[in-house]
Amino acid sequence: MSIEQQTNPPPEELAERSSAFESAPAGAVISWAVERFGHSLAYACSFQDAVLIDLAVQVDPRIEVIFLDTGAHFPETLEYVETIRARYDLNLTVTTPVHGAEAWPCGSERCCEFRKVLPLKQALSGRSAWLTGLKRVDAPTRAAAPIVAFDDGWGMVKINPLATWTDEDIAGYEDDHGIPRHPLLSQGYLSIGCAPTTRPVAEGEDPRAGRWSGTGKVECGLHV
Amino acid sequence: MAKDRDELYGLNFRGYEKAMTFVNPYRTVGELNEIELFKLARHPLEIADAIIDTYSKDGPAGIAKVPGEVERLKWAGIYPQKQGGDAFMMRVKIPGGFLTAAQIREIGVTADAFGEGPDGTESRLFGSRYADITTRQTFQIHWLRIEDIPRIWRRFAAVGLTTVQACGDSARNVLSCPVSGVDADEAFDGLPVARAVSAFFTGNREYANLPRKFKMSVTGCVEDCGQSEINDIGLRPAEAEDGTLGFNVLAGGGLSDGERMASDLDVFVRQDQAVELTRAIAQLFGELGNREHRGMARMRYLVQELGPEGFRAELATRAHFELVPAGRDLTRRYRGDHVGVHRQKEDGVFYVGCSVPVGRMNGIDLVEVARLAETYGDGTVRLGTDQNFTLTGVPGDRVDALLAEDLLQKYSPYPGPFSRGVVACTGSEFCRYAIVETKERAVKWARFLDEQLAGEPVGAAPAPGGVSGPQEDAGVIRMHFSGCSASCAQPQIADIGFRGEVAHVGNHLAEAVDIGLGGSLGAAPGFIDWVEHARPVNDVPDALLRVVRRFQQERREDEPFYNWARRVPNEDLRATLTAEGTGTPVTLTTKAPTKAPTKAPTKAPTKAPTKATTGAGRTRRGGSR
Repeated sequence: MSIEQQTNPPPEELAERSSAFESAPAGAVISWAVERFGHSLAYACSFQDAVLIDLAVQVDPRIEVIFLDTGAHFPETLEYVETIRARYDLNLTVTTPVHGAEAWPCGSERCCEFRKVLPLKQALSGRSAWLTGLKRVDAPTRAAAPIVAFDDGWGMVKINPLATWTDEDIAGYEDDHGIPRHPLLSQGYLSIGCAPTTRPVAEGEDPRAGRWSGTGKVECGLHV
Repeated sequence: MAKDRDELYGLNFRGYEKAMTFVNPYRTVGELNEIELFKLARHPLEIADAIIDTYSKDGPAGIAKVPGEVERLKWAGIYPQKQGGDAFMMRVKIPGGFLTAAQIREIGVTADAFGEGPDGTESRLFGSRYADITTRQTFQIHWLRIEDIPRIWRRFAAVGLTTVQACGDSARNVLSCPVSGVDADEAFDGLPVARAVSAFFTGNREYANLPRKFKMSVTGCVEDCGQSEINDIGLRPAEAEDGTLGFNVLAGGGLSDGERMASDLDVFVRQDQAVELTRAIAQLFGELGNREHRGMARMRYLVQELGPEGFRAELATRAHFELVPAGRDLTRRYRGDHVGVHRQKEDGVFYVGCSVPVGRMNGIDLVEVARLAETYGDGTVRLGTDQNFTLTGVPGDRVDALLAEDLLQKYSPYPGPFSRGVVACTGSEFCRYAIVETKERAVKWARFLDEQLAGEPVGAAPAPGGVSGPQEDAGVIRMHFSGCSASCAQPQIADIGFRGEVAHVGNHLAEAVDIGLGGSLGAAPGFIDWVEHARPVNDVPDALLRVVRRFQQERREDEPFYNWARRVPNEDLRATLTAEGTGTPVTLTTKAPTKAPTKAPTKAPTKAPTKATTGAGRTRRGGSR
């Protein structure tokens, strides 16, 4: 690892990159990230779809993909992870909840912290950048997300190659490239998290309305 | 309520066939008060079903539409906060303050996961999502939403916790010595008896409608940790002539705004008679207590009216065993707290009392307490009436490692004498009766005094790392801060007591306190004298500093603060307190000076005495009332 990779890039460079990437294809963003951060880059994937995986392995077939097994996923999600892993022969890391997670009630902030945030912190420890599948259309809290920026909370660069994509863009890419879909998408689950806190949404309803429904909670803590 | 639901929610109700038999058949003097009518209209314990089936689903708005429903919430351990809307306080029932690690973890989880207030309610000092240790050895959690209550009950039931009758006109949390079973000097372990008494009353519909709250204390320790003199029933250790260990019975103590030291009933009970004794007293209170005036309903007014002998005679007709005279009283002294590192009964094992100023702890800290109890101690945690917690069963070779844990830097076993002794009620932050903010202010005042007087010890506090001795309690100065005259922080038994008031400063109202000095329980029980009235809060820290410095100058060897305060004339104390009052007043945030709910009516048939009737009570020296 070079000295350059260990130093946080200056904010001006990232801001410049981010605005330049606004009209660039996602593959160009990933190529830059792989070149810039090398093996210090990982992709934390929710496995709601495999579009970013499909794009990323074209750039680097050995890119590390992290799946946060909260212990409370739908069986369909776990099946889908295995389908995708086998299809791409993924370099997959699966995290488990940290000690003490079982004390916290489903849907509470600490539950997400112990099952997602802290395991991901451990998995990303020592890295300088991470890729995410975050999209601006996901939630109002994400509407202004940059494509590239330094993430103070995580102390590393966060890269969102699909930030400008819509749900239709995702579906179109899946159709064009024959990528398997998460089995629950066809059953009305448009945003998929842990089984106890995710419900299907009605047609026309906000896709993320089925997450922590009725609690006022909109983010688990990874993207805040 | 169906049985499967009982188990799921921890609502084990009994006594359906006999419920409500206590409304006095022959002693109705006037009209029953409004609360009594509510209780007759529908049994208050039925609120549990209503919460599970209705309010948790439809929201809190429906509660206010049903007459008496807000009152009934208390039987489920729930109070609406003064903010109104979907904001509730929940109180847990923890007999003797004894918790397993799993239980205190669950309380912490509840505070953290369900107890977050709306934006802007975070406290600078305490943050948010906390639980408060109360002066009855239990926890209160704020900012809960009604929809979460059934879920919290299910989670509580899974670890053996309940909130049933934590509030309301029924048997409240039963006090006991927080180091029961491990204390080197105790006469016997009183906790099993305290638990048996609590188990008899909790969920027992027949005994769940008393004229007013019903507070009991059961201890086997010789240090009166259960504050027997200020409970409705105080059972403290005694020895019968044949050597049997049991309890002498005190009755009719209490603070509120008509404080009274309990009367000695001259009755000895064996440990296996304690439940029947408390049952019979509850029956007596239920049948003869005042159900007309809420302000005269506490049992101390009945004891005062009948006199200890008359009360004993009524008791004799109801108890299912013959009353025998008191045994030899084994109480030796008053301890007040268990802060510090102390030797246990077994050699080489210690308990570590940690100071929690005003009892407020973040939920996540309670989860950490559970870990420490499992890692270093015997897996249990004890709460005291001083709003502190104690870890027991720590092997000698593990004490240093425990003391080095981060959490014990925050909740120290070696606090300053004021931080150690500070107690506060909920205050105007949540309570609709409080006139002033209490908890933040009490902590700031204690810290101020500890800082100002650092290096000028006021007593024999142990050096950090040391093991505490019996005399060291003289090194604490207890400051108790109540937001109103209801005395939830027990100001009357403190060295220095505060009671929220209002003062006229210029042409507006300002937050103020009455200041009392010289209270204590134990060997020399006596209530404080309210020496100074309606002192604007910003004057108080300097006033306290002047008083404590004077105490330091005039103190006799090892003399406790309360003793000094009692021998100095009130006029002198007042002069010291009032010199140089120059603070900027704090404008009152509550709407008006609210009267405490327990305020006695002006045409009271009897008046609570203000003089101690047991122990070495002292005569009050005039003062405010």
